[in-house]
Amino acid sequence: MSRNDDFDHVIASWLRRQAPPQAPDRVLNAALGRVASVSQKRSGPRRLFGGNPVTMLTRVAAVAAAVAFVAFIGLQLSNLNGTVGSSQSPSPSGSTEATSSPSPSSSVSPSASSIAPQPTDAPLLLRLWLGNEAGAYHAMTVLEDGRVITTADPGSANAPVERRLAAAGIQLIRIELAATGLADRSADYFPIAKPGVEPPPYGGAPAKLEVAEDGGGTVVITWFLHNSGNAYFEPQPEAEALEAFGQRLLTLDEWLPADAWAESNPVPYAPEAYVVRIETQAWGGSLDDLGPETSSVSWPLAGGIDGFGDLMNETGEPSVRCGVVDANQGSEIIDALVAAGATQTDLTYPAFALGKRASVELVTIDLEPILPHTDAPCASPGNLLAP
Amino acid sequence: MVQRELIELAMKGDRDAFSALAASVVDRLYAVAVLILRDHSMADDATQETIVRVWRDLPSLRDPDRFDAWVRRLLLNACHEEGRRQRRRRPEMTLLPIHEPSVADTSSALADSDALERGFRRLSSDHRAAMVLHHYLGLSIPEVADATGVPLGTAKSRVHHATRALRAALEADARGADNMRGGTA
Repeated sequence: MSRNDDFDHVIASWLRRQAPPQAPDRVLNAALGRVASVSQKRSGPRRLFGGNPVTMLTRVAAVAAAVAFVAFIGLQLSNLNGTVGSSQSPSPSGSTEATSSPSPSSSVSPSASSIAPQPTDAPLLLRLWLGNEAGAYHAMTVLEDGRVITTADPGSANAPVERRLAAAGIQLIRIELAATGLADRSADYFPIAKPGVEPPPYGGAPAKLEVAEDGGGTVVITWFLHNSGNAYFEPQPEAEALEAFGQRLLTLDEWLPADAWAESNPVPYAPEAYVVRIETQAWGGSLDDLGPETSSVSWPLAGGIDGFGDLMNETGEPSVRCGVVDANQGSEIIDALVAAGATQTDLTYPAFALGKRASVELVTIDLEPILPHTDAPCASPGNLLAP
Repeated sequence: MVQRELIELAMKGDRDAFSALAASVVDRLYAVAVLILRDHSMADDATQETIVRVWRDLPSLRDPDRFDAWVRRLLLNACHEEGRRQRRRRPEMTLLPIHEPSVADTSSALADSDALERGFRRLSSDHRAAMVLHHYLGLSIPEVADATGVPLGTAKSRVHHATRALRAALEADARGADNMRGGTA
């Protein structure tokens, strides 16, 4: 058994000894007392029906994401000698337009909190979201310039990858989209119970398709296809058409001809901006185990690490600072952290650890890529435990 | 009656089935809440809140087979909320020792337990949650990521940092004990 296994065993044993074997009776009694006066949430079209598990579309998404992720990991491993900074700048053939991000002078050193992400040059064509009981999550974004950005299934990885379609590929997707006959107006398509039938309860986030309109607006279509057959619900032709279209999107490799791709191998997604979260918390270990001092980092933005972005929590630990930086600034931050010898905690998601020995604190810095045409999610301070 | 049947009945509003379902999960929920929050009173509240939310939102559960994962997530949300609420109420929160050590513990194990306790208290609630899910509930790192709603890398990082902090706390304690022995020899 390795030293790590030994220590894991020590921790597991200690936690088991610490855990109370049973809850006091008052806990269950009090909870059930409260339950007696609480109604279940059954109102609203999104929570009325169902009972069936994950839709076929979700399963296809998981498989497609896994395929893309495996290919991406292979690429990462083959490029392992490169720095993290350089791994964020893929160069697919014919992709110079997309990767030529804005180039502010690094000597300007603007404050991160005042920086808005640079708008991408390429308009959105469409974006597909899938849903589960925990909420909606990004599955695929297709831009007019042919970039196809795919996010792996939540919980398995969070390393978006991108490929690039040729004009012919974009056209084929447009044709598929038009064939649904549903892409020109926003609508919700949810199961409708048959008269006299009590459907099983159902909820969770529906799938969602955003389609850019010529005039600059966005059509938003949501649906949930209940695949319990027709026992409980009226036929759902619209949801079935959308589900089929979603499946086509997630299996592009299976039906697009080779010349529909300008670059079919996935590369790490090159974001136009990052959300940077800096967490500072007390360190309980030896100072020898802390990463390099924060003061040793040539932080490229004004205000330094301690003054970065906005403080997201007034009290409590860890303290969280958050800001949005553009791609160049993100690369500069990554390069500065690598140069300082900051401990990298993940290969696919730029994350680093530093230390403050005087105050015995651990400082972690994560850079989360932002998807095109989405709002910067700084309001959620890197902790999805929060509602 | 098996848990799945209880879940399906409770989803349809059967309160008796829900009572039985809640009774079957409350011990585990409470244990996890105690380990994360390090406070019995807060764990009481978080567990109660979780059970109420489970009842209220059960119709929104898409897949009964995901019940355990879904409840874990609700519990973690409740723990997080409870932690925030208590910090606002009493910034100098007292963290109590949770469980008396068993008589079989040796003095060395007791010292380790104290050191682990100190190290564990110094972790953030997010890091404690990751450790409890991974080491107490035996979830894999992807499952921890799923339960806590964070990217895989973040979950990996939390477990890694927390483990390192606890190991360092133990080693620091051992060095202190060695120094003490050296001084009296």
